[in-house]
Amino acid sequence: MSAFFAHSGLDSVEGWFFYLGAAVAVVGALMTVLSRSPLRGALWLIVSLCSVAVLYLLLGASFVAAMQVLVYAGAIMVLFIFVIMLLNLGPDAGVRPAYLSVAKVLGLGAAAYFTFQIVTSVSGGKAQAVDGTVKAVGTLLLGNYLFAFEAISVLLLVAVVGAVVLGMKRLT
Amino acid sequence: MLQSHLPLFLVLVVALGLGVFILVVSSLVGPKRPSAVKADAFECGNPPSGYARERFGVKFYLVAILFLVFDIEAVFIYPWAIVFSDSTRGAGTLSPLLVVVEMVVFVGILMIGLAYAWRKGALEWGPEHGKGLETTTAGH
Amino acid sequence: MFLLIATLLKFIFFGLVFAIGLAAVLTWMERRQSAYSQDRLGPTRAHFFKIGGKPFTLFGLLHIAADGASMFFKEPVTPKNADKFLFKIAPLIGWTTALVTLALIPFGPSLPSSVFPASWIPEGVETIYLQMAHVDSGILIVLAIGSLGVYGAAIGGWASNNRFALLGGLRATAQSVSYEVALGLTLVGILMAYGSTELGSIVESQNGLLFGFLPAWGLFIQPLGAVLFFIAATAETKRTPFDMPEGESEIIGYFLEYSSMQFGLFMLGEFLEIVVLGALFTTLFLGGWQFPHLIGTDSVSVFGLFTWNGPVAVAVSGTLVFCVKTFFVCSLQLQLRWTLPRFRYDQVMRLGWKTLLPLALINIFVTAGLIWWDPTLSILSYVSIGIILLFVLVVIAGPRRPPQVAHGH
Repeated sequence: MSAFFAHSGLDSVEGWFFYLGAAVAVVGALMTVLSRSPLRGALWLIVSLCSVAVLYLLLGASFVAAMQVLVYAGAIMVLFIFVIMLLNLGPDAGVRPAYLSVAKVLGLGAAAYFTFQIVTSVSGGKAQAVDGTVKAVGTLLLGNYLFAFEAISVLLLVAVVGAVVLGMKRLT
Repeated sequence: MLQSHLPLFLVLVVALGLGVFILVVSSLVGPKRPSAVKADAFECGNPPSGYARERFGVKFYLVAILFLVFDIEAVFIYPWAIVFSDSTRGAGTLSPLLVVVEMVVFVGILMIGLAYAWRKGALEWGPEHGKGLETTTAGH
Repeated sequence: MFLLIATLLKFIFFGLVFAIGLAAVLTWMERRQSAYSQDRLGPTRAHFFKIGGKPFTLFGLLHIAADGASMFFKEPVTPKNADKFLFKIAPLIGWTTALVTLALIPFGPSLPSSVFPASWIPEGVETIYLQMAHVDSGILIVLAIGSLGVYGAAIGGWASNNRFALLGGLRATAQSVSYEVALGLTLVGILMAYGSTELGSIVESQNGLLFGFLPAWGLFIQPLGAVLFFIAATAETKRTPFDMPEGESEIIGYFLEYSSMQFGLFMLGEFLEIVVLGALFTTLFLGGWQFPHLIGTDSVSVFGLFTWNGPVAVAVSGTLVFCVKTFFVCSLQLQLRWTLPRFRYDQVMRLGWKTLLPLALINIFVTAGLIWWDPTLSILSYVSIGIILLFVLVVIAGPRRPPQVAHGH
């Protein structure tokens, strides 16, 4: 019994937190898809994203964990919720086209395929903790990954221009 | 890493538990006398009209996009600030000149975006709403 | 187990007693202050007994207890067609995020574990922080958790199935996110100057004196940052002059359909947010628990009249100083309510995007230049003192509107 606990990592707080975080992330993602109300789905996605941050934390990436919550759960999801509030589709306003059952089968098939691929590829190794402090990430970002860093600003510029062009269109 | 963050989760659980406890106690001791009028949406005393969830201006969506872009900008500025602080004090591997130039370029490119949104009137909400687009609508 | 008990104890003292206590007192202060500004008496009724024929009301303080009790015994109404689940959890979001943010704030200096009985402390623990979570990226986690707080208003407004509540929720979210950007960018100057994201070490970097007498607080090396932060923080709390999301005279707000303690949690959460932002302002710009001339590294002395030595003395008085400073910042926020008129929504958005955001970016680059020139921060402090003097001069000698003469009959 104790061998099982040691092997599965359940003999430490980290192990328990890993399984808890992973379970909440998966359940949150499932509930996102299964929720009939779009806003409930968005809320579940926030829960799922926050528990992924817990997994980052377990890997030692404290900066990425904080940014995961700040950017994904705190900023991108605001955008999602705005879209939901702007369109204001009620819980039963969703269109249910005939090809939905085909989509269900295809979706389940894809999910099974990806799950199989992920399980087979990670089952061998053990994740190593990294030095994920703000300082370490910053030094890498401004040193080794300088080009990527500057390219991000161009990407963000494109996002601003695109949003303004599309969003302001109807006024003309 | 997790050890030092554990209190955060603990406080989260306690705070959430306390909030739920307050709500449960309140719903237990409070009276329950539901009526159709009470359950109606409150519109300043008038009978509610129509479906409440109307559509709203796309302007809010623009604000959310701009927020997202500048929030991500801020995310990249935080590690920069720490690295810059180290480099001026002679710590770290990067020279202060390189670090400053990188950030000037980064923020400079984003400023073009802000200037564009500004000029196009995406930041206007009042009477001047859509001012930058007047040239395209002129000719009446 | 030690961690659990220590965290719970700190939570009881700092979270329940200090933060929720202060939030409750602030509700009372707000009512007293409003009454004073409007030339009326304010809360004077609630009392348990009379002394000499007069009701013992404790300046209206007992109204806090009366309000709380009354809210518990009111009926929680859920409107028709509301999303019941989302409607119930919305008030919890703001409340929880405010309390979790509090966990990262250092309320006092760290204590060596030797001041406690050895049997209480497990092996390997050498310092006891007067901070629930002492983590490396503290300020970033504060921002991250703070960014989740906006969902309370958005979801509450949407779930209510009321058009005014929905409009309030939308306005609240758009306003919060607009000022979140400015709020995040104003901190960068502090991060550059102190080179750390851990709130405890930011406070510790603010020790010492400038020019031999002025405390070396963040306010005196980042005056513009402090002003911008205060404005952005006020906008985040959605209080006057930024109270469009809950304009009482027009749309009432995202909590329009809420009643009983569901509304109470929303309100308490909002006052908690004032306390949290006040504590954060204290930590970043007012030197946290530091108070030069009064609290030394190992002793506390009040002008040489009274001295108290040892780490416990420093910790106790440091925590008190922190609480007093936070209280001061919170009172300043309350002052604004009857001092400034409400903005229009376009003015709010313009202030956030066209004034605060460019100013915050300018502040970053000017600060970076000055730190690069002189990493010991002395040139930065000269420039900052110059800016503060200029502020003061403009306020004293600047143009002002002639006093309006009331037309009496």
